[in-house]
Amino acid sequence: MSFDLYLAGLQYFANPMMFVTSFFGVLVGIIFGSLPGLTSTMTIAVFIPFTFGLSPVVSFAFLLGLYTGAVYGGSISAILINIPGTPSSIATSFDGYPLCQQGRAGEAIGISTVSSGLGGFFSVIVLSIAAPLIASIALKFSAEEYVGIALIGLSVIAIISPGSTVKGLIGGVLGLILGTVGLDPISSYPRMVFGKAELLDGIDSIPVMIGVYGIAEMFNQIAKDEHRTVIAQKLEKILPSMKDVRRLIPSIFRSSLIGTMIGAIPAAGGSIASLVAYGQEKKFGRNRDKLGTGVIDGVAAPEAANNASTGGALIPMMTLGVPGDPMTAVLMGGLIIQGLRPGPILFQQQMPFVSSIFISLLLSVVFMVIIGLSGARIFSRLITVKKSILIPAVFIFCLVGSYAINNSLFDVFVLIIAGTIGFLLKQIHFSVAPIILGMILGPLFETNLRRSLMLSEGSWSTFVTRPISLLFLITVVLILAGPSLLKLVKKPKVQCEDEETDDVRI
Amino acid sequence: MNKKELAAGVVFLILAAVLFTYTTTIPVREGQPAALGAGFYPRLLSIILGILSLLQIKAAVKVTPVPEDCPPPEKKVNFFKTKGALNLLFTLILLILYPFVLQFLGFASAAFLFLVVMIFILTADAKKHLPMIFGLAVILTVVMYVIFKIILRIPFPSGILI
Amino acid sequence: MKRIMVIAIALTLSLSFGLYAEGSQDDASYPSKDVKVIIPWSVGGMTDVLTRPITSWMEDYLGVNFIVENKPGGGGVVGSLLIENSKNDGYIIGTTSMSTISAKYISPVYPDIKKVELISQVITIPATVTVNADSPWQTLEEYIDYCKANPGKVKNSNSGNGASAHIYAEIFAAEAGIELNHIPYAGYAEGVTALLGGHVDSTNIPLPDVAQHVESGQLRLLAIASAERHPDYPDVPTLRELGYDVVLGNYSGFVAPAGTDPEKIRILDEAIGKCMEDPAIRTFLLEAGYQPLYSNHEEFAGVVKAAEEQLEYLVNDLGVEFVDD
Repeated sequence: MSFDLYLAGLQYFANPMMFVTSFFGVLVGIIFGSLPGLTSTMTIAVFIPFTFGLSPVVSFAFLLGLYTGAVYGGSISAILINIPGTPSSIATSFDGYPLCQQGRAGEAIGISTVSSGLGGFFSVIVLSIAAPLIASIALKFSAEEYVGIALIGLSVIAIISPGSTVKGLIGGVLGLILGTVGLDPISSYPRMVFGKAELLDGIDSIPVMIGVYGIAEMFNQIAKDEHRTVIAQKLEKILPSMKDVRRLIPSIFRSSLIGTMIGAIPAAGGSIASLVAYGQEKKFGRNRDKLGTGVIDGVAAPEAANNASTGGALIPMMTLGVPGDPMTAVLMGGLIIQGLRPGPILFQQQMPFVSSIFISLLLSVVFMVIIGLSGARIFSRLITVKKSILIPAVFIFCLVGSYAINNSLFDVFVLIIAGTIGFLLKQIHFSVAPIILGMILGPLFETNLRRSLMLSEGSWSTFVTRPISLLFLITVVLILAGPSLLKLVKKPKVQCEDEETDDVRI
Repeated sequence: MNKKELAAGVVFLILAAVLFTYTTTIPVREGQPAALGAGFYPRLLSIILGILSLLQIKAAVKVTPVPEDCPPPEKKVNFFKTKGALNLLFTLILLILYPFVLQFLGFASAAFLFLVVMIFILTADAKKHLPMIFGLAVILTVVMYVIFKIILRIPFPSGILI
Repeated sequence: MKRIMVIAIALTLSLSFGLYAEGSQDDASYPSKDVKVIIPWSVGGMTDVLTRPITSWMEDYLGVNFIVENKPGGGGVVGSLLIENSKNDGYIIGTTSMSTISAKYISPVYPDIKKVELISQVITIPATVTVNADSPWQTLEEYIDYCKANPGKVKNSNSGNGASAHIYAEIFAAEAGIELNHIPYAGYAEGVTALLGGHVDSTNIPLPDVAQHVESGQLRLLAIASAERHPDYPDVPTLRELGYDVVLGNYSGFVAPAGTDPEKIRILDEAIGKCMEDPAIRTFLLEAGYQPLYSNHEEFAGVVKAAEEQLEYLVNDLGVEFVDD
């Protein structure tokens, strides 16, 4: 693709509406993404009807703004109230919330904004230069490779589990079990459905996530009667220093690469990308020992990755017509409604439109950074609101938001049950992240395991004879070997009886 | 020995046993690899969970030596008699009631009621000022109404009020 | 603080009053208030994309709002059950497709098409026999000959066990006398991707999802399972021409809960008929890859009945089992 073709997309930007819609898209995306219970997928879905009257280019500038903004916005609530706004910001809460408790919420949001921006920028560049090439690599991924990706994600659970590895693994297995509820993805056999239509599609991971994070955390604060204390926030430091950014560049770059690649693989998406990025930071990062206690490295890595996955997820959509994640599936619907069917034909024949998408995406990254940095102070002031008001407000958003996901009261009950169980698990220092990760990764793992065996007619050797699959399996072994296995056999540190290892929050 | 940890281990072990029993009811199709059946994977998970819960129980019953330089244990207050526990109980009841009230009264009225009661419970006794609580609840309800009903057009069950 | 409170209370009151007024309109001429349209599939999905332009056209024509509500879940089961159990006052309607009637073969809880009144059909999408462009098969005969020589070796991707593309594949395989290795994927898009990547050898996924890859030269259309050749692909033969007497495909249309006043059904049916004549709607649907086909409520009943018979034949006569039980 020659440079002229990129410029062809610029003509659309003579229309000031492009900037206005993009800006509003990002703003609305950030607000809705940061509200617990309103996922980015839903945000895009509910705003698609608003674009019916707009021209395709303008409406897409708006939708891409929403997409970028919502993925980023999820990190704000993860940092401030330990409720990931979207599943892709689960990993952000690992270090983001401890930072907030140290009174450094502004700084955490600042670093999250900068690394999100860098990650997003990286992925736009990759998308516009190498989309067809990456798409052809992603096409080579069959069921066997998906098994590998799911296993990498699952093994990360073992690395990131603080404290007892057994507890982390139990959480992971509980999540995997929850993921088996519903019509079995291969033979359609109803498992643990108990005759309820709502369970046919399985338990939605979003209400469970809001429950075990949000509701459980609020329960915790009420039970400890802690809700009268407010953590003072230092608001002077928002913009990360050049020194910090320079130090974090290698890790942001690694995470962006991981995010773009995983994003480009259909069905993988931002939640796995940010998790793997956090895992590699825990393994190779400069501050790996302090990760989980509140260091900016732990915010930068997952945030760079999940925003890089937005550009990545657009690659298969633009070049193959295959959505990369649930969000791009909805985006694709928005394009089809406009009479444009994304895919090879659009990519080859409507180059000015395609390049306008690249430019819009870049524009939304810029707006995201501007809004994020100028809003960080306001956002972090939010949690200095009195807890007696904040807690009820969070509760009601969680309740109504979980209803709104599928317009179903069933999910509200799921939320309450998950919240109660999450609270009980916190009492015995279980971390809840593995449960959610297990729920997200489990179906991906099982479906593709069984599909691989169907494709290979029952032969297990297919996993090692395919080179990429073999490479993934070796990666899994390397991740698991070493410290995390040692932790399983190592004697625990001698502790005083009532010494609280209280900071088990991930 | 830690009672809470032990209880958790036992609960997980029971869960694993129940799941294992359940998977035996899932039919297996003749002449295909076991891994292709619908029951294989959940059964595998139940076995793993069983093993892990045994490890958990083992860790829980093990007596860990307490280091000498421990501070003397603080006087423990019975949690169930604290204010926190009472508030938690109220909260839980409110949460369980909410979906039913939502169906009966409608989304906005249910949210308003929930907020009033919840803020009332959590506000310290000295600061309980009813008009202020009502005002806050109304503001929050209006915000919720605008976001969910007007902007997002979420179809809530229609109750007798709004 | 007091002033804020007064304003807030006034706001709540006015909101509730507005809603009250809306609900109290009388029902003399139908439709006199908003009509809710339940789509049992997700936003941006096939049914959603084709339903929204039609309902927004009807808003202008009938002068009331058509509020689209997506209730996805269980491959359409959750939403379809909801339509069945809704009030039959004519202000709640929904959409249906072949998955609504095939659900009973795979799901323990399933909707019953007899519990709804059919309004009209709006589109049809023909199934295909599609292979990768790199494959050796240039014609359907070559493909079938290969399948016969290697029974159970040819991998065919579908949209899930018991889902539409699996049904097409089973019927086609039975008619052609071949044995395929059916590989389930999560949906049409995933099944087509597997074929693009060369992980499977063929698919029977309907035309809209394979069309653009056929145009770009990555996939090859061996046959189409419609009654007549498709205007965009005049060179592609139909299965019927090639001697396999099957017409396979999905449909989509509108339904209302059982017991809805026939007069109201007629009004809606007529409006949908008018809408389907509008060239703008036709062009939109064609460009999005659908084949517009309006049938009124009587003709639609025939279409649904034919699909039911096809499924019965598949399960009872061919002995296909979707679920292990």
